[in-house]
Amino acid sequence: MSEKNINIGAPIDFIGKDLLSANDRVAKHIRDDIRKMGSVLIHLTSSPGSGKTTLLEATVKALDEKFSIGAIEGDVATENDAARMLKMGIPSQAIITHGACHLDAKSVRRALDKLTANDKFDLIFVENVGNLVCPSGFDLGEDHRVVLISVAEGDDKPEKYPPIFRKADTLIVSKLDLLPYVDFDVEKVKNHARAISPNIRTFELSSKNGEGMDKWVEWLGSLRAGE
Amino acid sequence: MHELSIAKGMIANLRPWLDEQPEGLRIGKIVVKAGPFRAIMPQALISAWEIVRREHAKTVKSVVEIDHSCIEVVCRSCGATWEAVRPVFTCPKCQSSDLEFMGGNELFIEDIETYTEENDV
Repeated sequence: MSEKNINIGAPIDFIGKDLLSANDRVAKHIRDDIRKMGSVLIHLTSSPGSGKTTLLEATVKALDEKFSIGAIEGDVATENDAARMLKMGIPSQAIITHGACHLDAKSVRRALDKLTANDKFDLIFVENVGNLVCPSGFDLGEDHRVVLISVAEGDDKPEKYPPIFRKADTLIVSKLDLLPYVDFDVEKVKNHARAISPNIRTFELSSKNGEGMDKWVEWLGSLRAGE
Repeated sequence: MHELSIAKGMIANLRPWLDEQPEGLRIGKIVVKAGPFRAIMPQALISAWEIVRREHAKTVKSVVEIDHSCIEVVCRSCGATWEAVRPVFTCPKCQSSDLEFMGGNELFIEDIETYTEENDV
């Protein structure tokens, strides 16, 4: 026998509390610690194959040891990206999610503690698992969230995947060297991204031929100069 | 399948309160308010909750219902405002694409229904 007592709108503390508040607490600690370390944490997120790791490689080359860089590389199944960064001389930690579609603040915390145990960095990049949906709600404690869209992916990505842009403050249109070969309206993408995230800054670049890299690198440099 | 992480967040938010409740209390239904910018697939969250609800004796038979919230769209060209279930990129009145979206980031427990199951006490 069951007796129904319906509670509706009870004034209980979890009503209205964000369901990812536990993640957000860890993210806040990361953000505080990054500040204390004098570092800047940059979260790169995109669909698979938009060129996140290639951008990091090009960024490392372009910065030419001006800043110390560390990397946290999320991947569903491999350490390939972390290995690519190590090959560039960049201290890296891999996070293998074993099938999970996004990083969370707890996994970044563990990787960050290992990465910074004996080293200090000016810039730390976190590369999320390639996915335009699932990472969107998870604060990783980053100072800047950068979404990449490659021109080969199509210019309707902000329309199709608005949540990933909502908390992003930076948009990179990547693989600009392929622009002559595809139908991709850069201005349309920028306008749609701005509708979702009004103050989003945008870069258009090619990691392959270096076009537009100067502005991206200049911005990264300003983050350090602004401390 | 980020909905599994969100279902885990639900139990994490509920647990301190559940632990303080009388033993016979059971959760029947949990209503989750979800905005369009949180990318929640209702069936995925419902399925994820069916796994996670086993973590607490008071939630084992509970179900999740999703209450979708809207985005308020403001056209910065003509001033029109309207509610939308997903982002739109053209103003239906003036065809401008200079739009702003308000809200839509909600993701929280909005309501719960409890009952006392005497046989479970």
